[in-house]
Amino acid sequence: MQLKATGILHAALPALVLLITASCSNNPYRPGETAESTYFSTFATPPTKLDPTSAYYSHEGAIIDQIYEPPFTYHYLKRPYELIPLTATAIPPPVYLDADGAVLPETDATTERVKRVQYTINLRPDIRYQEHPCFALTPTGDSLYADAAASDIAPYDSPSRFPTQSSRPLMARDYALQIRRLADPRLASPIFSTIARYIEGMTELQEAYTTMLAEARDARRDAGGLTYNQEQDEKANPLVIDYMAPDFPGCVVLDDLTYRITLTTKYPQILYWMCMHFFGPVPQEAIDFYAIPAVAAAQFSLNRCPVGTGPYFLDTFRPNELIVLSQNPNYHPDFYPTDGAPGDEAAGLLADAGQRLPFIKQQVYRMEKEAIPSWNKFLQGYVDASGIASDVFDQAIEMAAGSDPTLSPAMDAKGMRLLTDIRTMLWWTAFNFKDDVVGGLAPERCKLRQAITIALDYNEYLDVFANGRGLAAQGPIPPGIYGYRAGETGTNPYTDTWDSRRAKHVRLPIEKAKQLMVEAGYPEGRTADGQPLTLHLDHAAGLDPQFRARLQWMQRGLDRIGIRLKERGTDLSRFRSKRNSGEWQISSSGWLADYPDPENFFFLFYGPNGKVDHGGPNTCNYASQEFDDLFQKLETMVNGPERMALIDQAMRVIQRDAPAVWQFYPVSFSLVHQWYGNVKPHQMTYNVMRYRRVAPATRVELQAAWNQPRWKVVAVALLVLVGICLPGSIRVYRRERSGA
Amino acid sequence: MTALLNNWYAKDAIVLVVVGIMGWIGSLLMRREVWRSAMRQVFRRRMVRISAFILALYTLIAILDSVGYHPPLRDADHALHRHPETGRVLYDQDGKSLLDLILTPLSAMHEKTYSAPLAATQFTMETLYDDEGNTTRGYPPLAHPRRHLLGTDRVGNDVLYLAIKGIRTGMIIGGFTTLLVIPFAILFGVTAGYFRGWVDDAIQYVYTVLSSIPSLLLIISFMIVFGRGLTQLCIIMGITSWTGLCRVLRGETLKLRELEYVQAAEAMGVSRPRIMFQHIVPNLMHIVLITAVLSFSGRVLAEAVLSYIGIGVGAATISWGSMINDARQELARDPIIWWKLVAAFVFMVGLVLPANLFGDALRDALDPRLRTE
Amino acid sequence: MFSYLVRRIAYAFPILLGVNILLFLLFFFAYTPEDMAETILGEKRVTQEQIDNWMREHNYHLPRFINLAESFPATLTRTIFWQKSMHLFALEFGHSDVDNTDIGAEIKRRIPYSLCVTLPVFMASLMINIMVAMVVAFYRATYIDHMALVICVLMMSISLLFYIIGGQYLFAIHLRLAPVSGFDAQFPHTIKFLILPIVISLIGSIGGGVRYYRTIFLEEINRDYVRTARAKGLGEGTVLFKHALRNALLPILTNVIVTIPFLIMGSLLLENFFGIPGLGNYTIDAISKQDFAVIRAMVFLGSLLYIGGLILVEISYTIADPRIRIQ
Repeated sequence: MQLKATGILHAALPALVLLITASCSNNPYRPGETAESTYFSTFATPPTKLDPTSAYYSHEGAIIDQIYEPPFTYHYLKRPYELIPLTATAIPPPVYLDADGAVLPETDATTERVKRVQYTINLRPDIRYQEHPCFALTPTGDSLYADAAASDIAPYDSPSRFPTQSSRPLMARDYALQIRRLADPRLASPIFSTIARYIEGMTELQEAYTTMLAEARDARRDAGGLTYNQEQDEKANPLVIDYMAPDFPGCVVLDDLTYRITLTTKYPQILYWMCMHFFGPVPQEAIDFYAIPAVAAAQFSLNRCPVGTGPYFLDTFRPNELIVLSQNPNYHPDFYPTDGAPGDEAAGLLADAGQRLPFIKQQVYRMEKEAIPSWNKFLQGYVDASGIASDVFDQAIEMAAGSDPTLSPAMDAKGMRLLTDIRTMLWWTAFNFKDDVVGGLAPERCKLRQAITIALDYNEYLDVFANGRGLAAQGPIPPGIYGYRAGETGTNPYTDTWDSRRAKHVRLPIEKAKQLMVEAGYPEGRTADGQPLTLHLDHAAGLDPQFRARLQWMQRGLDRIGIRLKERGTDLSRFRSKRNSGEWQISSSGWLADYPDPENFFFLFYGPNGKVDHGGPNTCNYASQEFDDLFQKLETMVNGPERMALIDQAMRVIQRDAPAVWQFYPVSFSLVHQWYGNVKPHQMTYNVMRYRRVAPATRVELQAAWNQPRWKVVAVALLVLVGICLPGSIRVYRRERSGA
Repeated sequence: MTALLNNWYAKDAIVLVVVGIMGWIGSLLMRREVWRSAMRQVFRRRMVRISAFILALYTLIAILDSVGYHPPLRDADHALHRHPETGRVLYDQDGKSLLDLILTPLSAMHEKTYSAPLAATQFTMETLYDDEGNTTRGYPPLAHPRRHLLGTDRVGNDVLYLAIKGIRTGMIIGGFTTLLVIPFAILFGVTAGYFRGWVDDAIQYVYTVLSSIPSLLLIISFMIVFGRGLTQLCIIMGITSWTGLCRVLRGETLKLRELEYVQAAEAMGVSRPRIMFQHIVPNLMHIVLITAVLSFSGRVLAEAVLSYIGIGVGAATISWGSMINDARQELARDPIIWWKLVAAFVFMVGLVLPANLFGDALRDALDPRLRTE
Repeated sequence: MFSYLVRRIAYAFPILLGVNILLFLLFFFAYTPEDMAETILGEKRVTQEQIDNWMREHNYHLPRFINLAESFPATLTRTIFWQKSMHLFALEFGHSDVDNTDIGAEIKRRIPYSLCVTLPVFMASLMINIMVAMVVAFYRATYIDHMALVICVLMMSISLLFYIIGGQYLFAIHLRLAPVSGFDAQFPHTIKFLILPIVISLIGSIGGGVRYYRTIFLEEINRDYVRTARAKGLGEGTVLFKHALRNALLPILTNVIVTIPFLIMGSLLLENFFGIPGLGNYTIDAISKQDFAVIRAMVFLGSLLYIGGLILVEISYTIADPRIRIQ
């Protein structure tokens, strides 16, 4: 028995060693996988919501923007961003109606007279949905899977694997359905409160849905008896309400291919909203399909398995491991743009002009929580594109003084390309206007805040934390958004000055800040009783390893004007409730543009949007009559010199009041390998993968060349180990022989 | 000068109390010949003597870092800052520790950002501007060239200073938690073993419930609910770890109470608490001591893991775990920034290794059953 | 035996109830459902209405322990405690608070991934630790033994974090022998992803393991039967590897059995660093997203496995040593 066991061991061990040695390679893919026209990338946070109603984060948008097609989108190459129709035939002009319903000419359409605004959207007739089981119907129009048992569904890990699938043309009612879904209280759409202010009847629609839901739930609860568990029951047997039942004047279907949106006020930004997945089409068939108990039991829902018309469909969705998007064979005719921004042609971005899209067959995204493995896989060639973490910047990039950044020679030799793009994003350090020390509009308070701004030199911050990737901000509007002023004219006169030699904004000298502190009533940073002024930074940076360093940097900066900065950390929810009640002093925030309009940034500081008093997004609780008046005027205005003048005025007000330290506008740097082409960064939509292409042959060749295992080192290490063990083994052998 | 003397305080009394109580227990034990001879045996080995010396050094630093004082505020010209009306000398509300005072030369050496150990220039390149307006790309010189023994971190702090400041955190997590645990474990363990019956059942139930929850998950849940911080961490580590010692002590008490001398004391009508604390507890002290020393090192290591997950001590506390956490990003650079990780590594092993060696030696000396030779 | 088992399992119930109550107090008193809703809905735009809605959707609007608005049985059942905690006893883990997925299904799906790592690690480390410990015991009281002991203590004094960070750098980036991270569930492709985590956790466990098993062997070596065997003239190696090993296996096995159920739970650190989508990773994700439904389920599962492990140990004692009788 023992002999047999050792016999097996003797045979198995070498086999195991051989197997392990043979599989030693740092290639994370299966053989041949990288030879296909597939794009490989990583994701750090698992997407949790893929329903177009509730998805909001960029990592969710990166997936569903490629699946759901809203009526409009942005031009891939042109800058500033330009709207183009996607599934619509044209961008509709607004039709203004007065109180009597008569059409007002553009020239008479003042905010006061306009009572309704209508947009009529006409769809292209040649668009079809992806193949999906929800479209597989019996002749009577019921779902083919309506009576499926759980065991019929169990073998399939995704609806795209179901045996019978079908498709149908896109219709206007699909868009109308999705707009109504935005009002479903269960889906908690993040944009509901914003658009309900503009779209007619949206609030009433939500109330109607709430009533319908309550009635349906009461009925179920009474039928369910004592042990009824609403949560469990609704998971097993989803509650469906008839979305189309209530009357809703905000969105009306005119015919199969036409629908009309009605707003209660002028709001040109609605077209930008209609470039987002919130306004994409959702077929009623999909909602019915995911309500089938057997399908729901298999964890399939609109939240995990989207159904769309886009260039790609969701092939595999294991949110903690792997996401695969495959080319949609039903994708409508779509062609690479023939014109772009200046310089695009020289950059080779127009080589594919007029070609049928998409190029890439499949996109594979693998979960990579840590930045380091992700970056290393990029260097090894196993990931096609990478954002650059600031820490590896020196390795990748050399900044020729005063000019644009270029790649380091090592990277250049690998044929990588560097793409830079200033992000339409702003970071700021907010002051709470409800606070007795830093808040308020009194001139000395403004001076205190200006002094703090000067003491925090974000050019230095960018050097230390981001290797200079970014622009020190002068105000709330980032580059790429209408209203941003570059260069000397954009200077914030209260805190900064233009350094023409370095061609950037620099803070005023620290003496100015010290003087402002004197004027604010804190000479040398001392309060009336002689102690240093102590301020508190409230944060919820529980998991952020870099927070400590950032805090120290701020402390050191403020120390120069005698202010002590202390941190007050809590978890996110308590941080939020502090913000809701206004019990905080200083905290840091960021905002990524939803659409390229200054209103999307100014509204963060608009008084009636105040967090404490109105529950709005203005966390500073900044409320200045002067700024609010200007905002109201420019909010719905069409871009032009008149609007620009108002923006400049509003900017000066907010710079003087300094409700926040304007930190910086980040610059995104991304590196791409030579085999990945047609890449131009786009800030507004993620539906751009259809333009890109890969050259798999080059990729395979270079991956092999870059990743030869270093067996020699292992061999030497083994030899050394054997050398150490040898005397011992000899001794054992001798002792055994003499002993036996 | 008198002003200086008036402003001493115990920054955290915890460390001082821990050391005090340990010293008191030690002196009580040393009165017994058994313990004296055991200690002589322990200290016979050179390795143990070295370990004990290093542990004493760490303890000393932790004590120094726990004695605080309020330094007087100074104006820009270093003159004493006085109250604008009363003219009294004002003191800094934020206390400093004695260790801060000793380490002032280290902590005052700020740089802008990273520099390698003993380097003369900054680690990262910058665009440099000279007086004529020309720009070049290069490494700017440091404010304190070749003075940073272990380099500087991202915001230019001296890494050696950070590592030394981490000692107090490590010692508190190891030591304070242990002190928190021992009274409970002794009380409940001995009571359960001595009284048996329903008392035993109740105590057993409590510790089975607690120990059946995976301790890491319980710690994490607790830290999420009550927020990050050194005190919270010590409390929850105490809650999760007293059960092990309690179980052992209960078992030993069950054996001891059957021994003749305990039976004799009972027959003589000695009161039960007296029997427990005079006859049983002293005979369990060796187990308590061994467990305490060995679990000490486990806690120091656990802090690193918890800080890695992001639920360790707060952002303002310097600890080795958070240094390791920072180092995760730094290791991806090329050339890599290794000094912060290495500093944390060396200081951590420097504490844990002697603690383990000392604990082993104690066990060999005090627990004859496990004596190896 | 059977009635004993029934009694043991019945005893597990009050303990699990205790665990549940403890967790409930921790999660629902110190940290209210409203806090939770805010954390989870935490997006750029969130209103009180959405919070109320969310609580209603997830049954958090109910009273905690007693629902006075309902008639008798429902006073107890239509409460958060019943709906959230008591359902765990039926192994109904409910749904994630964050993304509404079925926790039970997710756990079932992830267990194989965790086992892929923990099982080989467990077996390999057991084997290698015992082998090395025997070699060290063989050289006992020589300088080799002393050196090995010091090395063991040194290795024990190093945090697993260092082994992981160093190992990843050396093997994946410098030597290019294994992928930096990732996972592939299909068999032959799995191996290359497992090499690195296995090697690293082996190195991490060898210090403590060898030291522990060495003491067990030394205890065995001092027993009478070993002396008898030696007196018979058997070689030291034969004595150690045949007689002592066979007898030492019993304490070793009973010691490790209690850890077997925990293999299912996976390794938090390894799975996180290497991107293995097992239960450990699930737990870490739940922590960072503050998904208490998942944390609660994992804690309950952990307690269940612990109690299972204890019962296993007692059974294995009786099987291994018939002298121990179970009353």
